[in-house]
Amino acid sequence: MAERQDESALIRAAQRGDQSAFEQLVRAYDQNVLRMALNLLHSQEDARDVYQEAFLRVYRNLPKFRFDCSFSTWLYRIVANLCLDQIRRRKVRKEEPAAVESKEGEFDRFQLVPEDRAEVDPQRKLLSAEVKQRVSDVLDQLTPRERIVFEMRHYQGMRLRAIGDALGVTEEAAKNCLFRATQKMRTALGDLV
Amino acid sequence: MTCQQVQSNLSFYLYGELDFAAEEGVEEHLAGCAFCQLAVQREKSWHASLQSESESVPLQLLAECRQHLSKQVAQESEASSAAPKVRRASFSFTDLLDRLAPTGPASVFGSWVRSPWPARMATASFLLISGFYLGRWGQHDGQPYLPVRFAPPAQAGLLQPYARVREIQPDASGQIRLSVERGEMGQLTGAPNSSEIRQYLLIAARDASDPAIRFDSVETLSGQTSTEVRDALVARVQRDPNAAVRVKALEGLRPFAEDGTVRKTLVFALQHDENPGVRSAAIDLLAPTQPSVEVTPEVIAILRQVLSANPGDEYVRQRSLQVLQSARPTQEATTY
Repeated sequence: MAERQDESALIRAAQRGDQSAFEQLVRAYDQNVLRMALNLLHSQEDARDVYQEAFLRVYRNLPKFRFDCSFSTWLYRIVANLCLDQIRRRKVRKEEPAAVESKEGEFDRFQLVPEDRAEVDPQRKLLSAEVKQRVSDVLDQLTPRERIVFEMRHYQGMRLRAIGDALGVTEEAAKNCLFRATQKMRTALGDLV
Repeated sequence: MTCQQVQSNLSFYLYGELDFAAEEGVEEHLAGCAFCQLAVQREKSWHASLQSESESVPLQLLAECRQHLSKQVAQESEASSAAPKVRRASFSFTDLLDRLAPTGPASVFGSWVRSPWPARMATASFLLISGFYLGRWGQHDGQPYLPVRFAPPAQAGLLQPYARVREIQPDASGQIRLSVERGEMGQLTGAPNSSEIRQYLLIAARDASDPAIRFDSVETLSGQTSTEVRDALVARVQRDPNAAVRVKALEGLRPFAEDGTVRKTLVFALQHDENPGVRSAAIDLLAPTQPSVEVTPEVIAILRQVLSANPGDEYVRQRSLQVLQSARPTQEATTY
């Protein structure tokens, strides 16, 4: 409750034009937003575009925010719609080459995101290329909505109710979407683990 | 639960999205089913394999995004503050008259008007008269600016043109801090019942654009017993489009429950408000639940009227019956 009141105070301050309050709001959420965009779009450039557009929309529309939903629901609604638009605009992923040409030579798509942090998940190193490819393939089989719901539930840890609010659907609809997504994942990955 | 039911709910179980009963059902089944226990282990394994595939956020990318956003926001902020002000066309009353009557008999009038003092007197009179009528019109809800601009002289020293309350915050010492926009944003702190704070709260209670501000201001004004507060709360009950604000205003009218104007407002709300919460709050004020409070014959008559007019409103009906039965148990406990 105290955290929510702090956030409300930050939002009100940002609505009054306090730039540092707006910056604090951005910092509270921007890593998750960028992570979600990267997970869904697998492109730093596209993730950067979604990040910029999402927070600019928040900045422009913050004066109209009336606390009729939580700030995170509102923000994730914007991010989800931007990611959905981006996914739908792209060609079907199976037509995109797994290998990408760059000036340093050919790279596997999964190696494009540089790992700058010193502490890297050791489990990641142990996973075979086959698992990675299977994961990539099955994610491609999900519809855009299933991908977004799965991303929000599995990676962002959002509750189904919050996911429904963010996507403008009922909790039940989000649950059905997640059910379909996890069924596909289970079928594709069940025999590998 | 069957194995099929458990396995179709496995992911929801691991995500903690099952309700209490369903989770209990799954756990009971798992306790006695090795096949489903294995299925849970496999489910956990592929969940874990996906988790490790999540893209970690490269710090360089994050830093670049923040920098770029900061620049964009600063540009937009500069652009909006440097927006060109509306330039008013210079207006000359005498030029207007010249255009209307350049020659002929009207030019005599024109030449009279062209002399400075009549034109100035006419313009000044026009402004005063239109200002008076605009101020009267501005008393209607929806225009918090106009009542302030044309406020009576007694209040002119307190109120600035275009004042608007943006936030109401009580602090630990019992004082109220208001964020007030008067051309530019400012803050005001004072006791809730201080004259200046009250005036701004009364303005905020009429802010058509923000029900949250109206709610906060009505809540802060509640408990004060001045006539202007009473009138402001009555106005909210009668005219506010937001039911929560109307309920809060009704609660604030508790000290005035015996007042004739307030009684009429309560009756009106009870009989005509579309929101059942508002009607319930109205009847609780008209007919309090404490047995020690006497119910007047006037209220009894009102409640009889309400019962015959609103047979479908269960809470109102029950409360009305309760009061009528306790008032005159032998005569009133019949057919309603």
